[in-house]
Amino acid sequence: MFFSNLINQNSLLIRLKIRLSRLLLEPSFLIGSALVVILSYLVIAPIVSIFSNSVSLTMMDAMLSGSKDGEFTYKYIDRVFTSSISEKIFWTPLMNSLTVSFFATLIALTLGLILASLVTSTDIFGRKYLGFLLIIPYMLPSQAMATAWLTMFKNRKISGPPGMLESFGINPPDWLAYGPLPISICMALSYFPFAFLLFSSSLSKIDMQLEEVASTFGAKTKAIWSKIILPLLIPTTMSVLLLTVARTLGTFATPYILGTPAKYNLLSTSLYSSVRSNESGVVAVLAIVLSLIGIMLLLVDIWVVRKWQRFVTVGGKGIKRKPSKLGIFRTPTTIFAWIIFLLAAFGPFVVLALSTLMREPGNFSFSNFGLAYWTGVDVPGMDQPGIFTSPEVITALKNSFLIAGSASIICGVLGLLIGYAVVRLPGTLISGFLRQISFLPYLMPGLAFAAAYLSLFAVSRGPIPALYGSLSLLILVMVVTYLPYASRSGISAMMQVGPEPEEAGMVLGAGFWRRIISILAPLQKSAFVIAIILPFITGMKELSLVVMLVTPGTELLTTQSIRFLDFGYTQLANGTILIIGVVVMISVLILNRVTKTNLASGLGG
Amino acid sequence: MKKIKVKSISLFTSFFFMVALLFQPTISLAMTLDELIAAAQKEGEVNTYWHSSRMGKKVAKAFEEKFGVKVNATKMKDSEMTERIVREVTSGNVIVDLVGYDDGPFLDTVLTPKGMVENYVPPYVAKDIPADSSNPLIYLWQPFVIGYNSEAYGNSCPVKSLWQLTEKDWSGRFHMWDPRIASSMLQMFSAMEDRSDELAASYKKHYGKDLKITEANAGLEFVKRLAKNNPVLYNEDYEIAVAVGTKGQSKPPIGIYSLGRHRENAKKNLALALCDVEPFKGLNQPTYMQIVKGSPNPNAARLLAYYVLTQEGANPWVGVVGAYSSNSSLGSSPDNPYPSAEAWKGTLLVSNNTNVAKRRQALMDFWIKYSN
Repeated sequence: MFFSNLINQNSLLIRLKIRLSRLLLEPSFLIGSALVVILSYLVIAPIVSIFSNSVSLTMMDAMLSGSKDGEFTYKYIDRVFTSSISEKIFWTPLMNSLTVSFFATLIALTLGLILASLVTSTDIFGRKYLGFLLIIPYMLPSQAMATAWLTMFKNRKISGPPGMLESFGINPPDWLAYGPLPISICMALSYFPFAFLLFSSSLSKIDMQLEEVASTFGAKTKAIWSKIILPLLIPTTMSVLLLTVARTLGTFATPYILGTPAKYNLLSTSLYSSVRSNESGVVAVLAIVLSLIGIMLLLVDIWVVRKWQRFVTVGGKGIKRKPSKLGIFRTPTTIFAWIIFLLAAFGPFVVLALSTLMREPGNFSFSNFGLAYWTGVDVPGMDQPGIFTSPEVITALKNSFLIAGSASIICGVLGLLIGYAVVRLPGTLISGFLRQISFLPYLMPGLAFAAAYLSLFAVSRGPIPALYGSLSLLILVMVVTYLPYASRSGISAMMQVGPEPEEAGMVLGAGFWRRIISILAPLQKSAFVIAIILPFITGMKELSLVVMLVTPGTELLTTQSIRFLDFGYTQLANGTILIIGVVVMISVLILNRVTKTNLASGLGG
Repeated sequence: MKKIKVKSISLFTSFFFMVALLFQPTISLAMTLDELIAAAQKEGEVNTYWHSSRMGKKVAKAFEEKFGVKVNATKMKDSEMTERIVREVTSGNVIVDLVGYDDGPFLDTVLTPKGMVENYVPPYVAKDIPADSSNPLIYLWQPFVIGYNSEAYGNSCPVKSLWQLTEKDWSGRFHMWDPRIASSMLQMFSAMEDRSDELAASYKKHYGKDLKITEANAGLEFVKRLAKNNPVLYNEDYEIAVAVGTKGQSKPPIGIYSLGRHRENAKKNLALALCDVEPFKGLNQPTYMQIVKGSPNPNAARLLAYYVLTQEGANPWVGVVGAYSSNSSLGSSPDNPYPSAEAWKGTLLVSNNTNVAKRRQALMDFWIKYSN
């Protein structure tokens, strides 16, 4: 009895010991578990609060009706789906959202794929520059494109100063100025660079040996593309599809600016009106619907990934694809690519810049141009500071840098850690959980997420103090919202590095940190840079996520530009948008220089 | 033992205060203006959410120069302000000190009864503030008027009766605040319900026949017809004023905006003019001034509240066309069509906060249902 007990205890101890040493040998497990705890709180808690908000009486309604705050109610669900106003606030916006998302994604995906193929694999003129220039639209806040479109095409439907076409005597029809067409186009032009980036990155990572083998067997370029490269791009296509659809569903600046005049509401604008009219119950219900759509997309993604399994496409040798000759198509494709650049990046920039340089809108005479709106000297509006002399712009600039900067660095680190844990713990619960949970925030509309964070972190909870009115709340909400970018890029980058190099390191006796520093870090350098740059860019131009959370003193450039619009300082607002664009572009250039990676040519470098 | 002592002492002192207040009702907490200034300067700054950008553009600068106290002003629509006040007070993390707030119904039915705001009538000017503007304190009356473009239409407004705005000719050509964001519009709708007889009479006078009502009253009927006539909605009346007043338009729209926009006619090259329309020319919008409960800089807030009720502090609003101070001793701009808010008499709607509070959700849904 006694002995067997002892032996049992001993074997238990030994087993525990083995377990423990295995855990210590496998830091991915520790990292994974820590991430599970942190993310559960930061991602799941807001989602839970949204669900509970959808069925409990809001404080406002409780106060107005004299009931108890938080009482269970079907009021908001009824209101959204079956009430007399449900068609106005839900059903029509839903159809509109689906329509716009479909077209915007279709255009963005097609543009991204075509342009990425042209730039990475052909001898198109100016491919080096195009690689950078084509991602510029991504650096402009989405309201820039919409505002520029409006400045160009606005007609008499909404009065006020004439649009540019109007001042040349052309009267644009309503369907061109407002509604689904311009919204789809503007969204597509804002988001195609994302598709372009991902496709470029995948294209330059596809193992050249596959193509070499094919061409050795006599396959034509066309066959190589249709039989090898495009099928290999399917997982990337799915990712692009997912990210773009989710993004377009959650954007509100574009439909807000271009849809409102035509009363063309999307779910995002309907949600926004509900936020602004303090109907947090309705906000919660709409947010859940948007999230459910997102979760459906996620399920499709899981299915695709399972079907295609993982692609270890990074070749051991760093051979670059030789640009194929386009022949007679060289000039037309070049023109096409440059036109897209002109429309998506240069156009809005010029329109916005012109508006800050012209003393009187629409007057193109030489004497009408000047720097008054920038320097604040002799401004036509009299009591208006210049863009460079406004203390608000300086504060907002500082805040934007601080918030987007810290959020993106935290994001980048988290992204790679998630990637590491997910890929090194295949088939475990942790891996699946992390993969899905880190992507969840993308499917939540930013406005709803912000609302949830506001109600969650306005008061102190456990070790976390009340964060309302602090920069850390903004940083936190950005980190969580942008995690999908970082974790996606982290996971896909880690997937493409097979375990062999690390195993080789292990055989040679390298410890965990040694392996990270000497093997993974160099391999993942560019993935890390991308995992930081993408959130930074998005953070610099973020509006919907932060507009409810900023307080006086924590204004960002984007929210400040909205404040300027409220004040009637159109030029200041446009100037602020330009600053965002320039700051982001410069940061990207600096990062490219410092890390010697070229964001544009993907991970090929 | 000790506790009881403290309690009895505080009871004792508060009794004395009450007696003092009884005898000197104008002096609150026995603080002289100089003491208040000193206390405010000690705090150094004051945060405001304000209905008007002039707090940030004009008052802040003058106030800081005069008292050395910094004013951080954020312009906000009332729905956002409501959200923030409630949020800040319930979280115990109050950032704002003083608010200039248009949503009287919400103030009367929720914020005041729940003790989320403190009504402070500066004792130094209290004698000049009429009783009906004192609790809660109204600091400004702003006519929100129907206006038109005088360059295109000349000296007389193209509509004579409000009902014309519901005609096909004005479809998509009436510009107004979005009722989901600006409570003023709901206040107007509610006031129209209160005075629906006048609306019905005006219909008969203009068209020579009785109004056919399909809703509960002529006010609702008007709101429904207006909503169905495709009005253009805005967040800020600045945009409405520009849309209406920009010169060089052949068929400019009509809009409702604050009369104060007329001050920008010269500066922004607009041609805004007041519409002489029946039965109402617009809405007389009271703006309330309240100190938020738990305000971090209460003395600076009190000083600022006092300041905007003096001629100097009120001048950014009352020195130009478009607003009247509740302080009856202050003058108003000669550019106003009438010298005082009362002189507009019945031509402006004034809402009843209790009625609005009762009807606001129903009116909002009614509006959403019929607007396309």
